[in-house]
Amino acid sequence: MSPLITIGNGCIGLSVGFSLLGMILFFASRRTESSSLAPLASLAAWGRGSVYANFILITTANLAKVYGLLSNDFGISYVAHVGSLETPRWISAISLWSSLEGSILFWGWILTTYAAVCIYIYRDRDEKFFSWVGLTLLFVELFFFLLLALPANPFLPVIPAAMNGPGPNPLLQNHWLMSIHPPFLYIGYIGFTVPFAFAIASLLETGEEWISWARPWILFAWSFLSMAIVLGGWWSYAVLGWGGYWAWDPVENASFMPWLTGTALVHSIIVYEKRKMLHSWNVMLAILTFLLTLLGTFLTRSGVLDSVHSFTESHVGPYFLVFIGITLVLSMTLLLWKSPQSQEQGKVQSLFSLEVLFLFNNLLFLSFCFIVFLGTLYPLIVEAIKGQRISVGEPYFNQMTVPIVGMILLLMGIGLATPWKKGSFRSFLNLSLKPAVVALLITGCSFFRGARNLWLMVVIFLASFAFLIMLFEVARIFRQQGVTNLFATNRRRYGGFVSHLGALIIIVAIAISSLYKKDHEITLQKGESGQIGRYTLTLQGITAEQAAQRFEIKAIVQVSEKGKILGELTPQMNFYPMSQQPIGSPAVRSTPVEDLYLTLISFEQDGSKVSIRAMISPAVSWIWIGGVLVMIGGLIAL
Amino acid sequence: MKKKILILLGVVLIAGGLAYTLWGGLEQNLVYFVTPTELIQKGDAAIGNPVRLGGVVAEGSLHVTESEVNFQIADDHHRVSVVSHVTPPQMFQEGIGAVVEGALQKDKKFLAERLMVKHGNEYRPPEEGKMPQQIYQQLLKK
Repeated sequence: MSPLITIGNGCIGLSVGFSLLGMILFFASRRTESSSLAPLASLAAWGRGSVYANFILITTANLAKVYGLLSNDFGISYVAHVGSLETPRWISAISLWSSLEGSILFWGWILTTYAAVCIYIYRDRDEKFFSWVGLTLLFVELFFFLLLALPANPFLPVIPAAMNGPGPNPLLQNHWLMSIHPPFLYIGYIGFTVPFAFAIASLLETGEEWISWARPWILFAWSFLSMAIVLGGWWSYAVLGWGGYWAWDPVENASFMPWLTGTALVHSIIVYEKRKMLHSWNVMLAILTFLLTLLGTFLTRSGVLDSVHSFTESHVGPYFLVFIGITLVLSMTLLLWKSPQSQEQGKVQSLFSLEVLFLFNNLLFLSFCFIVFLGTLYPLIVEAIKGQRISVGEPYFNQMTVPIVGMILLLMGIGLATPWKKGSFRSFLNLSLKPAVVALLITGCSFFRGARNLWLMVVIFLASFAFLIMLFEVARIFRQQGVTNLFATNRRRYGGFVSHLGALIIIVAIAISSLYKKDHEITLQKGESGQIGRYTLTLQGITAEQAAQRFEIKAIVQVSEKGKILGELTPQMNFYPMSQQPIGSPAVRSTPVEDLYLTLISFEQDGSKVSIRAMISPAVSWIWIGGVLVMIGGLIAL
Repeated sequence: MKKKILILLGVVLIAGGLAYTLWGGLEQNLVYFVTPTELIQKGDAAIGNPVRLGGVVAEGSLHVTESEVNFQIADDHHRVSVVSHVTPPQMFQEGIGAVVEGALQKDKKFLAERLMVKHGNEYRPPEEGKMPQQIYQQLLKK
């Protein structure tokens, strides 16, 4: 038996023990007085020790797993399941998250890292409050360690050791994005555990300051989750070959729901900080966001959905349901039982004030989340009750969410021109008149450039209005203070501007690309040319190559425009030895204006003819740029 | 008093939105998964309603021409004739599990707008004649 198995299981077993021990220590520590002179004498310090121990143990287990994957140790079940001698080594390393057990192990690593950093940073702060934080974090850790110990054990022995394995799911070894999308998603998803722990602690121990403590954690997690969702869309676009990036697939929705409540939270914490309002509301949102990350993981990992993320049949589903149930009941009980004690100091003075607009923003994001929630879970409920298999079509989501996005855009603009407490109509007009006029001009111009869709016009108007209000303010600051470092003036506000700019770009790019996407199918003989929009495609030939882990068929297509050669695109089809279906790799020529997207649909086996699907999608690359801006803005505002 | 009216207004708005979501949005946009047997049992009621039809591409039924694809989707008891104008994916072949999206027409033919090969999680080596090596050799022969 591989020594890695002993190391891995030893670490997991010990961390289960340390979690239990740490929870008891933290619980008991509330009754003792701590002395800063002898820090190790306090029970809480020992509790913190268990958090650090878990971090070291799970780090070791992860290293053991990666070592096992890199060294092709097929005596370990997980390696025998996702590894293969032929797989390139970098793909083997990231296979850590290419299947269920490894992904939970990796989850455990991010979680213990968060917990250790959090507990270390606040080691000298309010010990009673942070004992509850530590206890909550260990409670969540315990759940994931139990998963690792029981239904999702990544260190089961294979006797005798296999000679070779099938390699990871072909879809997951097709693109470099696979190496960054999952870590970003995990950093985002799991990051919401920390604010959750703060929220729970705030219910048990008066910690009115919890929101300012939680704020950087919320923004950090939110920034990474935002980027991860965009990266997921990008991966889907670059790998799956259907030419889109978002399909309201349950797996996408699973990552989107906590983002929506997280975004509501990012805004509502500002209301608390500025106006001391919405305290319990913030607690509720932090809990809800965490629960939705668990729900998302349940949906994607339990196998209730048919998807690339569900891996294979697994037994983690019931565990997740029980844990979600316990967490839901415990936190709701706490919320009902304890929240009346926390005093809300601020009062609404006028309906025309920023706090009221923030409240509307929150309601919109929550309604958005509810719509997505309903559309995602409805088929599961119907199947469970009636045994009938249905799916909720994309039109439901589009039809329901487009008006909400419109209202959010509207708020984004007017919110920037509205002050706290009580706004005056005159100053609002002052701030918004010029932007509104210019936005109207922009909308008019785009109308004459051919944008004839009503919703698109609305989106363009509202987005440019919000953008111009920001632009005018930035210009005003530059006029008053010369060329200044904007972020030094008010880092949070202008970090927010960067995120908002990113969001505006994404929304407009989505609107344009979904309305004006053109889809063609073309069959070409060798040497033949065909016209797609303004491009001429010429099939130069087909090649077939045996790569290390797969067999590749490539169509070499020359792209030219009005006789000028723009370059070559090679959409390809990859045959993996253990997979029945080939996996396509689309080829994309990306420009700021539009993408030309080619996928190989089929080919004659003698190499004489290919069928190609050619799509022209305008503005798609702006979505990725917008995603980067959203993330950077969030990190600036930390 | 004013506060109560506001709260009431909020509740009415939320409830209204909820009802609209449920009845206006969701029910209109459900796509049902059916098997050939289920589709045939529905009889004329199935005509024109978009569904996803899942089954096996029946042996000997696949005919591909320049402009259209004809085949039958079968389960253990029944078969439904399908016609489509989209190019089928590379591995679309007889005997493979497939899902087609579209609706039954008046002539009892199913008009499919999307043809999907079932992505099974189970790994099975490709069949004889579809092996990469053989494709490779044929491509080299040209």
